[in-house]
Amino acid sequence: MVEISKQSRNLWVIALSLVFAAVMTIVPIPTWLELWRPDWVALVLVYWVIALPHRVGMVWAWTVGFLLDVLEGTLLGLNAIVLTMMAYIALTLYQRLRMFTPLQQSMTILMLVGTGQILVFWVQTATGRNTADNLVFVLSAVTSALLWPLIFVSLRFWRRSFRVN
Amino acid sequence: MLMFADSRFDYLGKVRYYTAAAVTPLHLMANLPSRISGSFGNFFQSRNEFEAANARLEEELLMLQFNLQKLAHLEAENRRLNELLKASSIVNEVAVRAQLLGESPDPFSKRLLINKGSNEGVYVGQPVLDAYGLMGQVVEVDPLTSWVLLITDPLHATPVQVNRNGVRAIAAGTPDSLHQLTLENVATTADVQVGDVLVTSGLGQRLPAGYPVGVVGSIVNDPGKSFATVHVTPTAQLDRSRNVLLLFSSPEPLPPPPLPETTVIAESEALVQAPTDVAAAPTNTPQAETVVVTEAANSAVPDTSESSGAAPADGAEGPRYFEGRE
Repeated sequence: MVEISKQSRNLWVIALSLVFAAVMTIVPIPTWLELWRPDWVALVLVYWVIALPHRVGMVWAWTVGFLLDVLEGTLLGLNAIVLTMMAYIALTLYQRLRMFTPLQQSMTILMLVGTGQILVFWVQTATGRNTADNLVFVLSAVTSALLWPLIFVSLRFWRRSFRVN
Repeated sequence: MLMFADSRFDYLGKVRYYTAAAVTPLHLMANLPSRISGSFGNFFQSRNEFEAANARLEEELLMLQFNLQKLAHLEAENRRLNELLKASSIVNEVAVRAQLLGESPDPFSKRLLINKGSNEGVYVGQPVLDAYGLMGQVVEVDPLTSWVLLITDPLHATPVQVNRNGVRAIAAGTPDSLHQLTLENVATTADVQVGDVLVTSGLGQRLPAGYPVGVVGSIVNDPGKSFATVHVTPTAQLDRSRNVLLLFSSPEPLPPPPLPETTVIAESEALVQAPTDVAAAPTNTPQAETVVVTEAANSAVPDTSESSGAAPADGAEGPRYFEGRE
């Protein structure tokens, strides 16, 4: 057991799932669906933070966020700071989150992703990159919350089958 | 938070530049599903469909080449006339095809990612077109890819003129729709009609003159407002074009745009200006403004507005703007 935990932590599973989430974020979808696109990276990241808080933390969050910024062509560092903030909140809450029922977890995700979206909105408005005057952008937090149980179950399956630790 | 400041002041350009090259494969991966479905569609298309398409395309090619014959003649004639008028030299434009890689996942910004970057000589500010009209301009260049800001993005404004009579305006993007532009500050008396074709005016020195931008869709004259509300439908197929054209008008990147006053003078004599123009520029600035105003007021007959608008200032410079536009 000692050998396993030392040699094969299978961290590549985490990296791969995050890359997959990033790709899902930039996959072209119809314009009317764009507003509903869940925050894939945040969902996957929060899962890994809750599951392995000693492995995945704010450094992972910042790195993934930075890559996402370049991928999306957004302000450099915007997704990085938002994901870092989400990871920080998840790190402080992970013991409670593990005890929550799926519904409670979903509600927490709704709040978490919604906060992130509002932060993104603030920064974009402050830098003149967003001229929207309503709150429709939080719709993606709703889909994220709805999708959370699915993400949770499937990622738990992958974590167990690859013994990521 | 340091990152924001950095990216605002553009210190991190290089970092983004090389990281973007590294993550390009992810974009290709993201596009894989649609690409595969497209090639499957091709594979299973019947021979009959291909033959029909081929026949149709041949016919189209014939018609286009027929039009091209006349175009060569017209272009030569136009060049001769311009030389007679000592107008600016004509810029040769070469289009290079690029493919769409993706679009911005941010629902509030309208940007496209294309598969040509600085390795192919793409530069910031380069105009991007499709077969039907102006699509936008390049705003960010990475080694293998670049981002194109569409003309309908709320942050983009295109200097345009009505093809019919040369009335000038600014077509700005709207936050609501991908398929709508609005003309800003158009006087209620301006001669703009529904169905008018708008082309780029070349003002601002970024975009070349004469490319179609949109068609006026609706005009609302609200008595309570000082300007008319004019909605424009872009002619380019902003959501359908998979192939776009990058316009190379000069081998080297443009110099940074000059002061706003002088850009007014630059007009449609897009890139190359005779030395006399540069010398005359500062003195002429107010004149150009008056031309805009008078033209908007009595623009039904462009010839009369030309003479009346240009008369107060020196007459030698006046007509040139109108020649450049028509």
